[in-house]
Amino acid sequence: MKILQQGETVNVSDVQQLAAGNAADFQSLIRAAMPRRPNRIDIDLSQTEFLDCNGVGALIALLKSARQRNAQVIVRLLGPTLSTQRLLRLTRLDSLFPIEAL
Amino acid sequence: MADRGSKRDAGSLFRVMLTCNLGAVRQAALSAREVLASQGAAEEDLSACELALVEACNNAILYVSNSGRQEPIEIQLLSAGPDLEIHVIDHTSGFEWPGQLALPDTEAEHGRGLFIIQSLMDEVLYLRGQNENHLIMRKSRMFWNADATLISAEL
Repeated sequence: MKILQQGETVNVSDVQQLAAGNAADFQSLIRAAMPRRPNRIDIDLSQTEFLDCNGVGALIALLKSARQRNAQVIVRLLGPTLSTQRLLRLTRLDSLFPIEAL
Repeated sequence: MADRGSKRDAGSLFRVMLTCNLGAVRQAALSAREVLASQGAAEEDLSACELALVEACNNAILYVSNSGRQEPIEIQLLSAGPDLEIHVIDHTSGFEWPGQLALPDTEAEHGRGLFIIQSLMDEVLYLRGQNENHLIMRKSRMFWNADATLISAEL
């Protein structure tokens, strides 16, 4: 996973999977890279081959954590694969996060 | 790890014993997915079965007691013609399967696993026993290729 902080923006990419085995690390690494008042966090899911409900929980936890620092923060999910899109729809995360093509 | 041949029950496609370790779940699910792919399952069904299997195993591992942690979790794939059964057998104290499964609040961080399993599968049975529990997940019309069914019968 790559995390790039530029000013008030954080870009996350190369997430191979987001599941029970790595959800805690995913959260803690991004939190550590988060600026004091983030404006936007972009999570590139185009390389994410597998997402489970622990991964879904990690995305939500990250959103809540970012909102504590800036209630107006935008957390976007970019380019999810088809299977990831299905799970995001099934769990209604598409109502919580902007999901955009790359 | 995968033992595709030792259990030769009619319709048995795959059997694997899993330690109570979250890190081992995905690899077992990928092995199961490979077997299903070799039987001609469609990509969407493969993803559904892989995710349901992972959620079922994670659930068993996350809620196991200290004593149950020493016991393995067993995964079985069984075919019945074009249909598939996925069995996850654990030795935890088990839980009451909710009468109605619904998503939690949108911002809840937990509580979606059983809903996901039920949504992805055509039928789900949870049999809670004294020493072991069976979660049986059924998916209809997984295998459209008649040859694939023949291959599964030979295993």
